[in-house]
Amino acid sequence: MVGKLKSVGIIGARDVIRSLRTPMLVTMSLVQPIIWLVLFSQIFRNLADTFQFRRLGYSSYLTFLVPGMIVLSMLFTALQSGMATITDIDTGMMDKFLISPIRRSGILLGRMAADAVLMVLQGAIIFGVAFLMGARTKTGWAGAVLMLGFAVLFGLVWASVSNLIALRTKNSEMTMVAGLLLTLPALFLSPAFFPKTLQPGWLQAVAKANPAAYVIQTGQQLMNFGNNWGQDLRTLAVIAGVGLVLITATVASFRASAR
Amino acid sequence: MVKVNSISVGEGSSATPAIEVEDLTKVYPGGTVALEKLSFIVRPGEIFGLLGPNGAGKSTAVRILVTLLRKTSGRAAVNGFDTETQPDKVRELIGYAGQATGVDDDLTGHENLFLQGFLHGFSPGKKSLKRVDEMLELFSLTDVQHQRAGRLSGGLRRRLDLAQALLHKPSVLFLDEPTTGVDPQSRNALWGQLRKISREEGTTVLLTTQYLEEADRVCDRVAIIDRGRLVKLGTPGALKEEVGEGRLILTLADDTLAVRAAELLANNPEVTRVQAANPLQVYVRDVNASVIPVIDAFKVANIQIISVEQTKATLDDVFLRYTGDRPHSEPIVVGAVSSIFGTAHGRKRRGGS
Repeated sequence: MVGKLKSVGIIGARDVIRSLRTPMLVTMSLVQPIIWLVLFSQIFRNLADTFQFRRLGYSSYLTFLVPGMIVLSMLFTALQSGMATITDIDTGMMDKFLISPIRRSGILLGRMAADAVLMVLQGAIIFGVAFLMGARTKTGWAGAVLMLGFAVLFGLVWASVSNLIALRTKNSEMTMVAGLLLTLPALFLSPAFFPKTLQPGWLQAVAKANPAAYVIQTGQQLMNFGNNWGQDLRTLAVIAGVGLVLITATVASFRASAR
Repeated sequence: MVKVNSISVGEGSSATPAIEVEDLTKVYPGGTVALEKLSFIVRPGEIFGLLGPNGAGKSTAVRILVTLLRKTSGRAAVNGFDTETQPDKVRELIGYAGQATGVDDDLTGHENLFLQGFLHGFSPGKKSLKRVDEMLELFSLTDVQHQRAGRLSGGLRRRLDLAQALLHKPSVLFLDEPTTGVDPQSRNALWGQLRKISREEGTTVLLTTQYLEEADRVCDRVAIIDRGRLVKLGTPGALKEEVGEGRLILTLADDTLAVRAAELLANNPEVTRVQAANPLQVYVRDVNASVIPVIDAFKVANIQIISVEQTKATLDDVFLRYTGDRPHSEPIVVGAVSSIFGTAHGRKRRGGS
C-alpha cells in the first residue's frame, strides 16, 4: 500500500498541475469576482453615503464587498471540483486510481487538498486586487488571514457538495447546473452585497440557515470593525457542523460508487 | 535453440494460478445477468484471451478481477488473493488498461507515466526515470513524451496507456480491448511489444477482444464467452483446427449442383466443413493453399464456378461452430454496469458510437 499522506500528495499534486494547465478555468473563477468587485464597488459607492449605510459604520462599500467576493471565488472553484471528478470518471483516470494500491481516501482528500491550494491562491489574488483598490483591513494581516481561512474552509465544504452531486448524478452538466443553483442563493441570501440589517426580516431569517452568510459576515466584521471571538467560533462551528455532514455523505457516496 | 516459453506449470504443478475464476456470477441491479458461472484458470506467464461479442461479459469479468466491481457469487482471485476479501493485495500485483484510455490529457506522456509510477509505489529518482524512459522507448513514444497527451492521436494514447499499465512491472496485466481505435499496422506492433514484455518480465496477461485473428496472433489460450457463459476453452491452434482458418465462398452457376459440390469437397482433408447452398460456404484450414485444389476439383467434376471469395474465420464462424448460432449482442441496459464509474463509461461509449 502507498501511504496515506503520499496518496494525498500524489493526487493533490496532479490535480493542482492539471488545474494550472487549464488557466482558463482558474481565471474564470477569478475574473467574475474581480469584475464584480470593481463594478459593484463603483456602482454602489454612493450607497455608502446614504444615512442607513453610514450608520452601520462600514469603512467603505469596497471593504464591505471584499469578503463576499472572496467567498464567491471559492464557490466557483468548488464547483469545478465535482466537474473534475466527472472528467476523471469519463476518461478512465478514476479507474487507474482505483486499481492502484493508493489509499481510497487519498483520491478524495487529494482532490480537496488541491482545491484548497487553488482557493488560497485565488483568495490572495482577490484580496490583493482589493488592496490595490484601496481596501484596508481593520484587523490587519492576521485578520485578513483569518478571513481567508474561513473562506477556504467553507470553499472545501462546497467542493464536497459539488463532488457529492457529481457522484450522485455522474453527469457533468447536472453537476454544473445543480452547483450553480445552490451557489447563487448562497451568495444572494447573505449579506454579500447588502448589509444584513437593511434586509427584510424574512431574508435575515433565511440567511440564518445559510452557512455562507456566516462566513461572509465574519469577513465583513474582520475587515471593517475588528475581531469578535464569539462570532469567529460560531462561524467555525457552523462550517465544521455543515462540513461534517456533507463530507461524510460525500465519502460514503464515493465508497459506494468505487466498487 | 528456441527457448520453451511457458515454464511447465501445467498438470500436477502446485503453482498458484495467476488468475482463478470459478463459477463467477454477476447480476447487475435490475436483473441483467452479465456473468453466469464462468470458470477458467490462467497460468503464470500465460497470455490468455477472453473472446466474445459486445455484451458477452468480458469487461464485467475484467472489472471484477481488477477490483473495480463486486461479484454476485463465485470466486475470483489473482495470484491466490481473493478480489473481494483481499483487494489491497490484488492491487499491488496488477496492471490495467481499460476501454477508456486512462490518460490525463493535461499532462505530458512523460508526466503521465510518472503519475502512474507514483500511484504504484515508485519513489522519485534515477531508477524510476530509467524505467519510464525504458517504457517510452519500448512503445516508441520517446519523441512525443513531452507533448500534452491530449494532443496525441488515438493510437499513441493507446500505446501510452499500455506503457502505463506495464510500467510498474505488474505480475498480472489486464487489457480490456486494448486495440480499440488502433489502426491495423500499430495493432501488430502493439501485440509484438506485448509478447516481448510478457516473455521478458514473466507477466501474465489477460486480454479481451472481439477479433479471433487477434486472439490467434497473441494468445496462448483463449476462452470464448457468450452471454456470460463459457462457450469454449482452448489454444487458438486447436480452435482453428476445428473451425478452420477461413472460408471460401463459391458462387455456382447452377443452384441445383450445390449438394453435389458439397459432397465432392466433404472428403478433402483441407476442408473442415461445407455448407451446401449457393453460394457454397467451404470452411478450410488454409485459405490461400486450398483455393486452387478446390477450383481444380470442380473443374474435373464439371461444376461451373462464377466467383470465389476468401474470408478469414471470424468470431461468427466460431460461434456458428460451437453454439450453432450467431453471437448475441446483448442489449445493454442503461445503468447496467453497477459501479458509477462503470456506468459513466458505458454511457459515453453508447453516446460516442
